[in-house]
Amino acid sequence: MRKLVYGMAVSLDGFMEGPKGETDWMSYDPGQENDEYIRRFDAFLRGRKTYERMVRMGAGADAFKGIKSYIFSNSLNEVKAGFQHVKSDGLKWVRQMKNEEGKDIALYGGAILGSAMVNAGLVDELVLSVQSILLGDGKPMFLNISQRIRMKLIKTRAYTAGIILHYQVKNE
Amino acid sequence: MRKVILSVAVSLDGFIEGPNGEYDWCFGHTDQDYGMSDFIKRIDALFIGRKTFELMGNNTFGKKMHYVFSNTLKKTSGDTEIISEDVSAHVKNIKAMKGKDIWLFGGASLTTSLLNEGLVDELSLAVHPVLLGGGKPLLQGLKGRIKTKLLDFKTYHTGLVSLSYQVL
Repeated sequence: MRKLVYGMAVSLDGFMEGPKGETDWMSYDPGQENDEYIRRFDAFLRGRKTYERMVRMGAGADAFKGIKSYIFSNSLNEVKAGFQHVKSDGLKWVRQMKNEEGKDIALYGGAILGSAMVNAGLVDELVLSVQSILLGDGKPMFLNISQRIRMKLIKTRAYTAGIILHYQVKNE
Repeated sequence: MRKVILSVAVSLDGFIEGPNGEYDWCFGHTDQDYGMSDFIKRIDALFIGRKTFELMGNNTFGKKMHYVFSNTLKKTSGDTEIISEDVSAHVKNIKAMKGKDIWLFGGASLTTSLLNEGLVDELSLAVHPVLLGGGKPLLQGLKGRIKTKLLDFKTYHTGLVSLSYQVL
């Protein structure tokens, strides 16, 4: 079965964005998306807001070779060429996708999509890039987690702007 | 100058207590030490809120000076001092006194006000491998961003990660 890996950058106090949606405090880790890490995936899943931010920054669907980019949104009518649109039944869709042949699947925010996947027991691994900053307020990394979810630590790696904590999710 | 170190257990989603005040998810120190005895040697005083103080007393971690932050508490005995007003000035005085470092024990409002005043030197977070989904956040009412620098980290086989930061 393909694994779903949820990765995100968070502040030390657990926010994904500042109070006004700021992400300027995140620093890119050259090691995080290195070839070795990326090689285990052939699909990236993103929510609408993350997609819109990508489009604003001018990023295309083909940023990573051989990886299909899926956008989850029931409010968008269409997505740009190269992106795949998952318009409804996202959880069902992911459940099916995990059963198909293929490499692992990476999920990149936001909190709504990620939390729904965690609640549905679909996330196998969690990769938090914890940045060395307290924001004080903002958008929390998880929303409406319905019960305690335990993790098993797989590995940690410190880098210049923070530390990466990599967990296996214990879906009971 | 003595350092003030916030040392606290947090869930992976940043809570210090569960939705109903639970802390049964904390590993405690029954299975192993998690660096606690080294930390205890480093300090000779605690900054502590009234509620925690009333639960814990002043001898849980051996003989240490307890500075209790409270507007209601009037008298105490032993190695205890109550701080009710002019918190910032008191803390500055205590930091300038001779002694070892000081453990900032929590809770959220004391911690946040000392962070806002720039009086916290280090953060030591025992990050537990669990999502609680809700509860009492580590901080409440921070005025703005605070940059930190990762000093050290240690992982334990239980999945606990101990992170030490310098407040910049």
